[in-house]
This record gives sequence, structure tokens and C-alpha cells, in this order.
Amino acid sequence: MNFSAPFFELLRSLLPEFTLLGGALLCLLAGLSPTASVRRVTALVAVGSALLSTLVAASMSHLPQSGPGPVDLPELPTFLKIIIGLLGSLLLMGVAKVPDRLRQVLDAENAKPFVAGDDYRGEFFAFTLVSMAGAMLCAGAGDLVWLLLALELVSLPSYVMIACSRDDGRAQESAIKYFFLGAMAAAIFIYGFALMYGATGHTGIADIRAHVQAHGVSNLMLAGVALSVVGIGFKIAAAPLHSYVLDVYEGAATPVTAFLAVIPKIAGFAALILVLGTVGWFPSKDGRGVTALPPAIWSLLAVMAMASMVIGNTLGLVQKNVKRVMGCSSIAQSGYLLLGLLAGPALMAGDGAVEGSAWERMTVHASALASTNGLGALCVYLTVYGLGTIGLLSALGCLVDKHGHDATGWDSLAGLRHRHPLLAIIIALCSLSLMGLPVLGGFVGKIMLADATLAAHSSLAVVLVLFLVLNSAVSAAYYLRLTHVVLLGSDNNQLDLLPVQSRRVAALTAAIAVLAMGGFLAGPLLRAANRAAGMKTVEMDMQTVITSADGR
Amino acid sequence: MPTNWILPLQMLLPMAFAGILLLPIKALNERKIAWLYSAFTSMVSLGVAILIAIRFDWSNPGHVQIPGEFAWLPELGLRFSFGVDSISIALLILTALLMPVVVVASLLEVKHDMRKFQFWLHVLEAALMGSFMARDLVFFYTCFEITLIPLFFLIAQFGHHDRLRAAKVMFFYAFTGSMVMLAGIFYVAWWGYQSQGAPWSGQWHWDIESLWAIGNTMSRTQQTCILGAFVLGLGIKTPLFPFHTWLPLVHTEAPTAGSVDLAGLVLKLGPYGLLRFAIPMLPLGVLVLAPWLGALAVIGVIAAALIAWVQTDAKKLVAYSSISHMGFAVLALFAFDKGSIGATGAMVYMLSHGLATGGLFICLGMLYDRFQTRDLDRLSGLAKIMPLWAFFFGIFAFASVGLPGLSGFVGEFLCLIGSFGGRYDPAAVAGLPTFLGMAPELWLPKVYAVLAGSGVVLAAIYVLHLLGRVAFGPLKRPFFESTGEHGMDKTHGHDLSSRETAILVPLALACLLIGIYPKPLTAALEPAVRGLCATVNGKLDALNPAIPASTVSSSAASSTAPAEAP
Amino acid sequence: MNKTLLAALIPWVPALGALVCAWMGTRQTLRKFSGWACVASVLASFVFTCALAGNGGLKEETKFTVEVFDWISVGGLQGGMSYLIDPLACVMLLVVTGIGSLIAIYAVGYMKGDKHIGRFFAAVALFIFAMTTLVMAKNLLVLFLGWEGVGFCSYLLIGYYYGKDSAVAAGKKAFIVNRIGDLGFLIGIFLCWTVFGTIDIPEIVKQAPALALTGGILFTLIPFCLMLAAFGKSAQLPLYVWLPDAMAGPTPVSALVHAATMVTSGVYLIARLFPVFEAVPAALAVIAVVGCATALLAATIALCNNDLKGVFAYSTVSQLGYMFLGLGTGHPEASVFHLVTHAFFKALLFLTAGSVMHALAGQLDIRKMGGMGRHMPVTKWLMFLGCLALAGFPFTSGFFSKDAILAGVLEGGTPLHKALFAVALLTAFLTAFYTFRLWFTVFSGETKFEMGDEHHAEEGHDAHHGDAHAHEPHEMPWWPMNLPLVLLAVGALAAGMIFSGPITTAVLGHAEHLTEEAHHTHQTVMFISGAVALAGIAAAFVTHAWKRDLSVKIAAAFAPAVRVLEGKWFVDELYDFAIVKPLWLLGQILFVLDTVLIDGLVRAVAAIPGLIGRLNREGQGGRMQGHALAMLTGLALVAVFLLYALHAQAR
Repeated sequence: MNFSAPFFELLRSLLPEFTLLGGALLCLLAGLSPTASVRRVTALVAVGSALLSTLVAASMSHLPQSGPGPVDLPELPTFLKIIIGLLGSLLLMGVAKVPDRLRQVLDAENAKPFVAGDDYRGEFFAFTLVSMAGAMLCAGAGDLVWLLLALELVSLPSYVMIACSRDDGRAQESAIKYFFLGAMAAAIFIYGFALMYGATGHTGIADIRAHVQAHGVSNLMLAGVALSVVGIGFKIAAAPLHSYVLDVYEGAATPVTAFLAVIPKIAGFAALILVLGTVGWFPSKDGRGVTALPPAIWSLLAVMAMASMVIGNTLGLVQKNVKRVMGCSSIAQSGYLLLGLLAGPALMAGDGAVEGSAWERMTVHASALASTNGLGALCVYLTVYGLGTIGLLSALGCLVDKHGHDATGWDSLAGLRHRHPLLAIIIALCSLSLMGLPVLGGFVGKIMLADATLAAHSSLAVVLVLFLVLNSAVSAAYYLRLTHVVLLGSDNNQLDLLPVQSRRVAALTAAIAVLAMGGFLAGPLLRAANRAAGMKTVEMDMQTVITSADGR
Repeated sequence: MPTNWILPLQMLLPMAFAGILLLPIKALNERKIAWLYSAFTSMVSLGVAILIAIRFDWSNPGHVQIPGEFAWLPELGLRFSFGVDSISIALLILTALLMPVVVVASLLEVKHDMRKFQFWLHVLEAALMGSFMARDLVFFYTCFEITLIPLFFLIAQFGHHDRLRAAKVMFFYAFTGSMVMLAGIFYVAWWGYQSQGAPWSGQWHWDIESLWAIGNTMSRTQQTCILGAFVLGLGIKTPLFPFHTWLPLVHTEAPTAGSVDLAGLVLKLGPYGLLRFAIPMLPLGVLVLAPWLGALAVIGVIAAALIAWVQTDAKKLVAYSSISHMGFAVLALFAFDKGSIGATGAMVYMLSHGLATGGLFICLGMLYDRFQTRDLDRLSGLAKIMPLWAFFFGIFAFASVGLPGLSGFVGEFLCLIGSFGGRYDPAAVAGLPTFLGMAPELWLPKVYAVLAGSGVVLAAIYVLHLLGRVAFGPLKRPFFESTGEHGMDKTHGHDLSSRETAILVPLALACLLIGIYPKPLTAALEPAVRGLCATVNGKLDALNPAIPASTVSSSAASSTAPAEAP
Repeated sequence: MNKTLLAALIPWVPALGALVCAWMGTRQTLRKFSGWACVASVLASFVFTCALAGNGGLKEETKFTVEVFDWISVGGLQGGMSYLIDPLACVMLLVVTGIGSLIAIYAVGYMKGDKHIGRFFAAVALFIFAMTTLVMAKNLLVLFLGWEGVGFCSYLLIGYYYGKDSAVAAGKKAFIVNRIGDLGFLIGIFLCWTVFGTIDIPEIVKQAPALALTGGILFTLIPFCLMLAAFGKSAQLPLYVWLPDAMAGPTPVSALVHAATMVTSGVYLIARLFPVFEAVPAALAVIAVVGCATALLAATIALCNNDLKGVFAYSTVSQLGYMFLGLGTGHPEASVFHLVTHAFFKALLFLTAGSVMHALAGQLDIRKMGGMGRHMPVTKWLMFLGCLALAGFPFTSGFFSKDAILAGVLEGGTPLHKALFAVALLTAFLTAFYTFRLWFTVFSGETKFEMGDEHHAEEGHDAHHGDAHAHEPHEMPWWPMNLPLVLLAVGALAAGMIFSGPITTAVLGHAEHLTEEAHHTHQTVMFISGAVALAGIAAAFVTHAWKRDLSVKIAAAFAPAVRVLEGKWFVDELYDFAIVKPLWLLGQILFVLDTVLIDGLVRAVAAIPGLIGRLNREGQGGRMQGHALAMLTGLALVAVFLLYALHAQAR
């Protein structure tokens, strides 16, 4: 390892992650403070550092290549980091008061002598930030080892977050489940990584890609990629490794559930893009498009997508607990999102390197970009999915029943509009968006996914789109149920509101964003995502391959 | 000013009025004030609709006028683009006319949450206006889909006993169908996107004109499948037999306003969408499916009419009659006679059905306000105590029977005569035998028209059954143990109040006006309809090269017709 | 006034009158004048008609058309609100408005004191509007407007006493049965549109003869479809069942709508489009046979009917059968002639029957009447004149017109025609018999009566007549009731002699020139039918006036036959059993199928996702080992899938 300019380039590209880690350190320090008022600041510090890292990431977006990242998609890491930062800030606002409800914390607040080990607060926020940092690292990973570590960095803190989110045996139980099953999944994708290394002799993603491009895909490589895809499927809650989702989501505190449903999913999809990029999406011979994934991998993904949709949506019909329903929704939405991967990236039309400020680059006119890009659609849909889920679960997290338990049963939610109309409207909006009702964000996302899938022009594309729309129809059953339970149910006098302003603000922000994503905000987001996911032209691509091969 | 403000205004005003209902204004919590507010705002909408009608150049009714668009997602080709021709404008006016009517009619029925009720009504109005003026298929689809939400809440919150189930059934049924339609829309757009060399290739187009052109480049099989998807989505709304089973349930449970809007406006989205989008876009598919759709429509006409006859719930009876009536419209829509009489008739019939069935539902709602029942076995001879009510009820009943001089007849007659002269693709009906010396494509439409014509008799049977039970016969009112009265509260069967009369008069006048002098309406609709049917008609003209009308009957001509088909 | 305006005013003045009547009916003070408003509008219409007729309307050469406004015109289909004034229309208009005026005047007296008088007269005026429209229509669509319009008014008027179930049911039946015919009419219009490319009546009439040979099946079907319509409206087999029930309406209505005018519109329709029918001989034969059969059937039913208005109703059916017989044998002029004379004497009969009924507080059962002549001498003799005409007593109007038809039948010359002639003669005998059976039963013999109980108290007649009459029948006042009857009676006696020539000329378009042979036939027929009528009257006199117990004995001897006749051949029951009940049952079955099968299918499809979900949930035990197992199973499946995919790829 030499301290050459590229190394500093690399470090500089990791600035958002460093910001988060710095924030985590600050949180740990503040959490150790004996003064309650200082401890109370930790949440603020966490949110602040998340927002700061978003800004940092955004400020770096004008750089031609801000890190190793997925080969040929130089702007994608930045985009994903921004999304992670923004959604993470909302999530942090949502989780802000989670530790406050724990017995130890309450004891500490109630003038019992301060014992550092009893107070979870600092660690909790630090873990959250670290997990986000892991997700960002995933987005920018350039090496299988790096990717592996980043993925684990996403997961490990989240185990702790779940366990310490509630004073409830179920939280610990689900943390354990998540941990063990996650370890198993990690074993699967590590094995997959190992096979990939064995097949190509490289761990650098660009190297593997170059190798595959030069020598074709060996069966060993296919097996490696397949195992990796399946293993990472755990992170995104896709079939067949989906079965933990319902239990784990139910066990965690509601805002933490939101975290689980969003951040690991983004990280997982970032990782999947990297892994899949090693065996496909090469610039095609005529230079006008990209090649498809190997048929085996493509069909594996297709089956995973369809299975996830069907399993998630049908399971959602028979759940009695809203958080379990959101688990089902998470599984099904992963199915939709996988369509974006199936479609793959598109070549960036015209000159890829538009100079100018970040805003100018984001709003560059559409004609310069390919209008349908599977990965772009994936990015957009990830965003609207994340917003919808955060809004819904944060709003849900504001509610407890008479006994102080989370209000997650259908009955206990009934008549929310009498208690808190705004929360009811937020829940309704978010669930309708997740359902894909027009002019909400989810509809735009689904249109993009369907367009991209169809544009990829596969014989199965029509079937996949049919699956998408029919599953949306099935999912309507539980999303609509959520809507009418909160808006129409008669008041059962069981709901209490938690005094957590930030969580409400997070929910409201997410809901407004969901609304806006269907309308005027959708354009910039779409353009940014398509830019980020647009592949460079052939010449540039070959250049990169050559340089990275030389650098070794 | 490139974009004329008035059309978006027609859609945005109701939204804005709905938005005001959401603001924290104390006064609007008052039932009466919310009601008055809404009555006023819906009149404003009506005023805008009239302004549009004035602004419209009636000398060129088939031409799309007052166009405009707002960008939505230009990258994906999504635009809020709008414009009206005479069909759109007729439906806009119907919407704007029915809205004040249902608002005013809701005073007695809505006992709580008047503000929410009016909110959803405004949202529904906005969505309907949007769908009728849309020039972009996704925009249409969006509005089409959004109508479900206000309807869902109107029914689920203000309906009768089993309201939630009814609302859900309505939502899921319609949503599922429209999702399939969405898949069809995607397919067409994709077909344009991937096609080589066409002006639209490599881009997503959703505007009607492009989609028409794209659809026409597809093969017969593709068009048939896509049309199937459209028929599923729009046929469920229409409702076309056998996708109709949601309607009776929903009508029985819905509040009056919901029923009126459903029957009068929302059902119209089906035939309207088919005519506006599917028929010009998928002419080959239309040729294949038209005989089948005709068969479904005819079955619907007869079966629904017979079922209507045996109902004991007056509202269910009218609901089934709606199914039967819309069968006429679908049959005529897919007849494609030479002069497009059938399709024009279908549009007239839709308008008339909106007025007459809407009127019937309002009348039944007034009954329900008074007696808390619509059971035909518990009510009888109400003309004795409510003569004015019976008068209006009779007008709407006979308008829906199709009595000449009232609106129903014009549409029904044109539908039937159009269907009788209908033309089918010989290839699509090749398997059928000759009948009366006529080739199948010649006798099939005639047989359809005759069978559907029997619906005219059946309509008389069930409507007179309804009328004879409720309005005429010996007086019978339900007795309520709780109040010890015949009828509920203080309202046990007084005749119409002036408010109620004011609701019914415009509807009845409209029925009468269309019945006596439909010329302006048909003259305005005809060019627009003919334009939309032109592609299919052109194909049929090519299939049956000019058989002179007077020799259609001769077996010589009929036997040569299929031979000339390619 | 120019002729165009005159023609346009004929229907539209009564339409306005209907509005005025309806409005007056809602005003307490104006209500009692609404009758006069109606009379004024109908009378005005009559005056306009007379002016038209005097202005050359009765001449073929001066016929003209009037375009009032464009009604329904789409895609080449021209359905303007246009009128055709030719001699046939003029004759019909004169009958409709003339007799309509007389009946309206009578009704003012008859309905006096009724609470819903406004509704009644509005419907009557509306009826005149519809009927004149029907008669003047230049195209089939406008004709259909009038056709349905009169049916609608008939529905309103039959169901006038809507508090009675029977009246409501009768109105319903009339409308629905007519609708069956109307369906035929509609299909007829469609066929005309297809075959001729127009629905303009003069155009159709012009083209029809040319198509007789080349028309093909669609052309052949036209007369059959239109025939169905005519059978419905004019109460012929198999659609006659509504007319007897229609007597539930107020009696002036029975006279106007169900005897004089509306029911003859079927005859008018066929006469109007006669060339189309002429071009299809089979159609004419069917019409003749149906007409003849109806005439006989209705006459037999009338034999044993004990309902005052019922007998006249069946006799109307029977006489309409005659008219169809005339049409079917190719003599529309004879049919129209009979139509006109029938309008006079049948209106007279109904109105006098109405007087009797009015006097007896709604009593209709002739078995409960007798010797009424002593209380109501004027009515007695007026009805006698009507009966004479109906029976075809020599030199009354009915005699001439019936002879014209009979002679026409005989002129046909084929065996079929001979058979028809025989049946028609038999019917003529029966007609004379049952007519006078009724008259003798009611007006001669011992005085006996039972007051009816139905609508007087309810409809407020008492207010007008006072209590005294409630137990005692009384004569009707001359004005406004008996005087119009006198005019009708004059018509019933003299119309035959006066109108024979003009009507024939009007319908045929030229004066009739009888051949020597035909003239001979006519004279023979006159002699035979006169004899038959006299025989019938004599038979009635013997059995019902001279030796009343004879009738009882005869009835006892033919008890089963009498039971069948009293049961009206049980046609209603048959229809109920064979058509109505099965349809109702079909409706129920379809309803069940709809809810169980179709909706069940929908629900089954909707249940599939939930079912999958439930199956899926079985794997969600909550135990970690279970999850691990599920995941590894999934992984194994992926491995298998992958191997398969690779295998497939390798191949």
C-alpha cells in the first residue's frame, strides 16, 4: 500500500463515511456524559452527522469518479450515499426516542445514580450511524473483501440495535434470530465470493469484470455469483432467504423496523449491483447498449423476484400484526426492485461528463440520458419505497396502546383519525404509495420499473410486468386495509400518542416526499438516478479496464 | 398564452375546494355550513363547465379543442395533457350537472361527517373531470384509478350496513382489472419504444395520438390480447357481463350520492375509455373480439334484466337495470355500422342513463330517508301520499324504459339500429353456419340486435314492476315499532320538499330535453365518434367492399362477401 | 293560416293542453276547469283538422309534408319530426280529433268532482298528441313515437285508479304486451333501414313493389315484424289479452283509447304501409287468418262474458279482427271504413255503458242489472242504436262497413277465402247475438240492480251527486254527457252511408270502380249478412228477453263449453303458466347463478392469494431452526434450479 495520490483520492471519496464514523464517535462520547442534558444531545448529533455526510456526498458528486465503486457506474455510489444519508437522517429522527423508553434509561432519568453501562443511548445512535456507514461503504466498494466487510458492517450494529430497542424478550429473540440467520446468509455469500475469487483469481471487482469480459463466464463463476446473489438476498429480504423477516420486524421497536426495512435493503442492492456487474452488463459490440446477464443468473433473479412478490403479498393478506405486514411488504417490494436489476443499466447517451454544479448536473435535460435504465428505476424505487416505509413505520411508532405496548394490531389501530388525524393521513398516504396508486411516488416508481423491464426486451419481460401489476393488485388488499382501518375504524379509546416530536416530523416529511415524488419532485430524482446509473461510453470503459489492470 | 387555463381549472377547482375543506376552519364542522359550502362550490364547477361549453367551437365538435399540457415526467413521456372534443365536453357537463344534484341531495342522508363527505365528493369530481379531459393514457389511467379512493370512502363511511365489504369489493375488483389494463398500456408503450424506425421508437409515448399509431402497428394477436386487458379494466367499470357482480352489492350499500355518481358517472368511464383509447388503438383486436363482446353484452342485457325483475330491493333492481342498460351501450359500441350510428347512440345512451338512473337512485334515496327501507314488499302505493315524488319517479322510470320523447329512447333506438346494421369481420365469425341464407357476419349483428331488443320488453317488465309496487297499488308503509309510526321520525312520507324538487327538476328537464330535441347532442357527438371509429370502419370497409344497402339482403351479395375477405 | 302551420298545430296544441291541464290539476281552484282546457285543445285540433281536410287534405293530389324540426338524425338516418298529410292521415285525424272531442266533453261530466282530474285530462290531451303524431307521421320513427306515446298514455289512463291493484296490473299488462309488439315494430324499422336505406314512409311505399321479387329474406321479414306490432297494438291473437283488462280505466278512456282510436292504429299501420305487405302475399294471408281467428275467438268469449265493459272489450277485439281480415284479403279501404264506423258506434257503446256504470256506482256485472231502461231511457235508446250498428243491422254504419270487408273476403275466391268468409259470417251472427244479449239483459225485463261499491266513495263522485242517488240509478244530464252521445249515435247510424265513398277514395287514392261481378258479390253479401245479423238479434231476443229461462237451460246443456268460455279459453292462465311463470323462474335461477356461480368464481379467484398466503404461513413457525431450514431449502432449490439452468444452457 503506497501513499500515492490515488490513495488519497480514495480516502477523500470515503469522506461521507468518515463523517458518519466521526458522528458515531461523538455520540459515544456524549452518551458517556453524566449530564442528562448532554446525553440528550446525542440524537441531535447523530442526525446532524447524517445530514452532514449527505452534504459531503452531494458536494463530491461533481467529481468524475468519486471512488472505486461499481465498474462503469462512477456516479452510482454518490447517488446511493446521498439517498442513504437522507433516508438515514429521517430514520434517525424516527429512532431518536427509542432508547428513552427503556427501563434503564428511565431509571437513569429518574435521578438514580448514573451508571454508564445502564445507559444505552450513546451506543444506540453510534450503532445506527455505523450501520449507515456500512451501507455507504457497500455502495462504494471496489473489492469483494471490502464488500464483505461493508455488508457485515451494515448488519452487526443492527443486531445490537434490535436487541436494545425494547425491554422485551421478543426484541432480544429477534436480534438473536437475525444474528444467526444473518450469519448463515453471510456464510453463503462469503462462499460465493470465494468461488468468484477461485474462478477468476481476482478480488477486485473491476479485475473480475475484466477477467470475465476477456475469458467468458465459467460455471464456477456462475455458481459463485449465484450463491452471492442468494446470500445477499438475505439483506434485501428476498426469497428464498426471506423467512426471518416477519419475526424480526415484529420483534424490533417500530422505528428500528423501519431502519431494518430500508438501510440493509439499500446496502444489499448496492452489493448486488456490484456482484452482478462482474458477469454481465458489458458494453455490447455495437456500442449502443449493454449485454445481458448470463441466462442462468438472469433466470435465477427472475425467479427470486417472482417468488418474493408472490410470497410477500400473499403472506401479507393473512397477517394480524401491522409490523409483520410491513415485513411482507418488504419482501414483496424487494421482488419489484429485483426487476430493476433484471433490466440492468443502460448506456449513458451522449456525453456522460456534464460539467457544472451538482444541481445543474442533476437537472440536466433528459434527452442527454437514456430514458429507461433498470438501475435508475431501481434507485428511484428504492427511494420511494424507503420514504413510504419510513413514513408508515414512523407514524406507527408514535402510537402505543393503553398498556404502553406498541400499537401494531389491526384492532388497536382502528380509529386513529379520531386520535391523530395527521398520523392517520400519513399512514394512508404511505400505504397507498406502496400500493402504487397513481400520483403517489410508488406509482411513478412502478412505471419506471415496468418501463425498464420492458425496455430490456426479454421474452419474459411481459410476464414479469404482468407479475408486477397483478401483485400490486393483491397487495392492495393489505395496504388498503391499513388505510381504511386508520381512516374509517371507530375510535376504540385504546391509542395513546408517544410524545416524540421528531418521529412525527420524520413521518410527515416522508409522507410529503412520497406525495411529491409522484409529482414535481419525481423529475429531478429520476434524472439524477438515471445519470447515476448510466454507463459510460465504450471508449471510457475500455480505458478504465486497462488502467485498473495496469495498476495491479 | 399557450395553455388555456379553463380546462385545468375545471379539474383543479374541485381539488382546491376540497383542500379548503381540509383547512382548520371551525365553521365548516357545522353540517349545514359544509353542505352549503359544497353546494356553492359545485355550482361554481358547473359554471366553469358552462364556460368551457361556451368557449368550445361547436362548429367543429369532432376536433380536440382547448388543448394544453403540463409536464409530469417528460423523461418517461408522462404529461398531464388534456383537451376536449364533444364527447368529453358532454361528459364534463354531465359530471358538473350531477355534482350539485348529489350534493344537495345529501342533506338528509348524511348525518355525520358532512365535511368529509363533501371532501370526497369534490375529489371524485376532480378525478372524473380529469379522466374525461385526459389526452394522455397514463393521465387518464391516473384519474381513472383515483376515482376509486373517494368512492371507497364515500361507500365505506357513509353507506349502509355492509358498507365496508361493498367498498372493498368495489375497490379490489376495479383495481385488479385496471392493473391488468395498466399492463396492457405498458405493453403498447413498450411496443412503440422498441420498434425500429418509427418516429416514436426509443422513447416512451403515452399520448393518445402516438398510442393509436403504435397500436396499429401491432399484429392481430397482440392487439387482441391488449384489447382483452383493456376490456378487463374498463369492462369491470362498465360493468360488462360477467364482470358485473360487484355492482349490485355496491349499489345496495352505497349512499345515494355514491350510487348516483357511480351509475351516472363512474360507469361511463368504461365505454368512454373503450371508445377513446381502445377502439382507435387496436382495430384488429376489435375486429376479433367484437362478436364476443357483442355476445357478452347481449347476455348481460337479457340476464340482468331478468334478474332485476326478481329483486325485492328497489335499489338492487335499479342496479341490475344499470347492467342491462350498459349492455346496450357496449353492444352498440362494438357494432361499427356504416354511419357509426351505434357508437353515437352508445354515447347518447350513456348520458341518458346517467340522468335517468341517477334520478331513480335519488328518488329511492328520498324514500330511504323517509322509511329506512327500499323493500318492495314493505312499500306500496306511495303515489297517494307523495304524488310529486311519484311523478318524478315515473319520469325517470320511463326514461330508463326508453319511452320515445324521453332521453332513454334516443340512445336505445340508435344503439339498437346501429347494432342491427353492425358489421363484423368475416374471419372472426367464420365458424358459424349460415342462417336465413345469410353469412354469419351478416346475420350475427342482426340476431344480437333482436335479442338485445328483447331487453326493451324486459325493461318494461321490471321497471313497471318497480313502479307498480312502489308508487302504485294500495298504500302501504313500513311500521316502526320504535317510533310507533309509519315511517321514521317526522318524515313519515311527506311529499317532496322544495329542496328535493329542486334536485329532481333539472334531471327531469334534461331527460325531457334530450328526448324531444336530441339533435344538437347527436350532431355534436357524431363527428367525434365517427373519427374515433374511423380506423375500424376503414378496415371493415375494406373487408366488405361497398355492398349497396338495398341488396344487402340478397343471398348473392352475402355469399360473395366472405370470399372477398383477405 | 297556411297548411304547414295548421298541420304542425294539430298535435302540438293538445301537447300544450296536456301541460296546461297538468298545471291546473295542481292548483286547487283551477282543477275543475282542467277538463275544459283539455276539451278546448282537442277541439282546436279538430278544427285545424277540418280546416286541413277542407283545404284539399282529402285529395291525393294535394298531399304534402311538413318538417317541424329535426329529431333523431344520425349517420344518414333521417328521423326528423316530419308529418305527412294525405287523405288517409286526414281521415284518421278526423276520427281521432272528432271522436276525441266528443269523448272529452263527455268525460268532463263523467269525471266531475274527481280529485285527480288534472292528471286524467293531461293524459287524455297527451294521448291526442301521441295519436295525431302517430297518424301524421311521415317516417317510421315518428310513427313509433306516437305508437309508444299512445301506449304510455294508455298505461297512465288504465292505471288511473292506481290505488287498485287490478288497475295497476292491467296497465302493466297493457304496456308490456304492447312492448312485445313494439319490439316487432323496432325490428321492422331496423329492417326497413337495412333494406331501403331510409325510414321515410313515402319512400318505402314507393320502393316496396319493386322489391317484391328481389327483396330477399330481409325484405320478406319486414311485414311480419310490423304485423307483430299491429297485433300488439290492435289486440290480435296472440297479443289480445291486454285489451279486456284495460277496461280498468275510466270508461271515457275505454271509449277513446281502447275502442275508437288507439287500438285501431295497428290497422292504420298496415294500411299506411300496405304496398310492403302486398309485396309479400304470405304476410297478407297470415294477417287474414289471424284476424279471422281473433274475431271468432273474441266473439265466443263475449258470448258468455258477464262484464258490461268486458263484452264490449271483446267485441272490440272481434271487430278489430274483422279489420285485419279486410287488410289480409287486400282491402285496406274496407278496413279503414270499418275502423271509422267502429269508432263511432263503439265509442257510443262504451260511453253509454259508462253512463250505466256511473248510475250504478261502478257496477259492471250484467247479472246484477235488469230493466234499467226505466231509469235511463235516453241511455237505453242510445245504446240500442249502438248495438244495432255493432250487430250490423241493415243500413246502419256497421252493416255497410262489415259488408265491405265480407265482400272483399269473398272476392278473393280461393278456398281459404271461402273458409274465412264462413267464419266471418259465423262471427257476425255471434256478434249480433251477444250484443243484444247484453242490451236485453241490462235494459229489459224486471228492474233489478245492485250498486257497485268501488270507486264512488273513493273518487269523490258523491260530492257531486249528493246522497240521494246512491240508492237509485238516474239518467245522465244532457250537457255535457248525453249530447255528445247523440252526435255519436247519429254517426253510428249514418256514417256508413256518408263516408263509404270518400274513405275508399282516400285510402285507395282513387275512387273505387267495382266490376260488374264484384258489384254482384257485394249485393249478395249484403243480403246474407243482413240476414245473419237479424238472426242473431232474434236469437238474443228469444233467449234473453222473451224467454229468459231458455238461456239458463242452454247454458246448463253446454256447461263445459260455457265454463271454458267464461274462463276466456283460459288464455291468460296459459300465458301465465307458459310464459310469465317460467320467465320469473328463469330470473330467479339466473339470480342464483349470478350470485353463486359468477360471483362465486370471482370470489374464488380473489381467494387464491389468501389461500397461498395461508399455505405459506405454515412455514412461519417462528422458530429459528424452522427459518434456517426454510432458507437452506430455498438455497437447495436455487442450486437445483441453477444446475438445471446450466444444463439447459449447455445443451
